[in-house]
Parts: sequence; C-alpha cells; structure tokens
Amino acid sequence: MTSTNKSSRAVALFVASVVAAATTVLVANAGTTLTVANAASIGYNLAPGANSVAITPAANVPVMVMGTQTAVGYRGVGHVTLLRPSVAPLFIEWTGLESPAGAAITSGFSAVAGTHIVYLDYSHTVDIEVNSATSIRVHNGNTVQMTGNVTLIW
Amino acid sequence: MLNVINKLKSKAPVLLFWSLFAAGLIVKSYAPGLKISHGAFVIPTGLAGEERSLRPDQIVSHERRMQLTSAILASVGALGLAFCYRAVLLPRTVQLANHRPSNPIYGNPGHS
Repeated sequence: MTSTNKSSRAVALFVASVVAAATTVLVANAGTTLTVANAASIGYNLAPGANSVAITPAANVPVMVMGTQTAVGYRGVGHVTLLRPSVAPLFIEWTGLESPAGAAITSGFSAVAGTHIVYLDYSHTVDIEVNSATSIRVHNGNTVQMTGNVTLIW
Repeated sequence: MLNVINKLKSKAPVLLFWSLFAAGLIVKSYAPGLKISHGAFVIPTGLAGEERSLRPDQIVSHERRMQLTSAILASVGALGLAFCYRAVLLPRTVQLANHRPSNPIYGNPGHS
C-alpha cells in the first residue's frame, strides 16, 4: 500500500468515525427524548404583582400541575389535577391541595382571568390562577421577588 | 457529456446518503433542544413567543418528532455511507468477498 493510499484511508476512517459518533449522539438523544414521560417543568422568577407567561395545558386529558415556591422565607408546595376541555363551553376545572400553611382542598372551574386555583407558597401570596378559558398563569401577589417552578404531567 | 452523466449516476447514492446525513444534523439543529431534568422536559420561557403563551404538550411533541426524524435521517445516511465506502473502510473483507467462490463447497462451476 502506498503512502497516499494509507493517508487517504486514514482520512476516510477519521470521517467515518466522526459520522458514527454524530449518529450515535443523535440516536441516543432521540432515545432519551422518546422515553421521558409527558412532563414539563417551567421556572418562574416574578417581580411583585407580576404574572408568568400563559401556560396552556393539554386538552381533554387530566393534567397534574404541581408547583414549588423556592424563595427563602416563603417556601411552599401545592398541586392540582386540572381539565381543559377542547370544545365549548371552555373553562379550566381543577381539584387539588393548597400549599401549607393551612393546606386545604382547592377545587372549582372558571374561565375568568385571575380566578385562584392553588397557592404555591407558605404565606399564600403566590398562586396559580386562571389566565383565560384555555390557559393558566403564576401570579406573584407578594411585595418581593418570587422564584420557583411549575411541573405539568399529562 | 455522457461521461459526466455516468459519473454523476455513479456518485448519486453517495450524494444522497451525505444529503440524508446532513439533513439529520440540520433537523437536529432546528429542534427546540429541551433539557431533561428529574424526568421532565425543562421548558424555557423564551419559547413563549409573541403571544406570551406556552403549550408544553405541543413543544414536547415537536421536540420528540424532530429528534426522531433527525435520528432516522442520520442513521440511514450513516449506514448508506458505510455501505458506499465499504471498500475503503473494510478493504480486506471486500477483497475476500470478491475472491470467495460462489459455492462454498464445490467452488465456481467453471473450476474443476
């Protein structure tokens, strides 16, 4: 084998290994993506009085919505299972448990923006509320910045 | 002219498989690229768009579709390329296969 042949084969093997590595990464990523459950986590970092972006849950399936408030001094956790119908009349319907202190059942249905769904913090100032007939949002009713995250499972 | 067409014809499979592989990479680059943490997709609020609304179910299914498409395209491309370049990648195996008798027991019909 000539030196030219050897070097061209070395280049070919290098390119082949790059292609193989890239393909392996893509297949592994796809495998991971396909095996993860239908769950999404959305963080929030809200100024006093601010609302998060609107979150539209999956329609016609039970959606578990749980949230934690992580700001020190106000930490808490709450959850609800909610329904968003896809045909009129449209509304958000939910049932679940408020955050401590004084955790209690929360349930109802509404299409009116601002309707309380579930508190996420200890002092009951940060909550998930109805944003529209098809979406929800996190609202910071406290006078300080609040951070946390909301996870949806459907 | 015919020579050029014949050359193109002979290189068509290689070009096709390189294109498929490149398409896989391009599709991957256009995927939302969601991170996975604690068994859940982490959705950045930057994906909310102009109407400031997130649809987690649609974002997740879009991510899955694009990752799967990318993996299939890249795999088909890579396997096709491996086949096209088999003579370079596995020269001895190809040589042996070319010299192997068609009938493993009796050899070629023309040989006595």
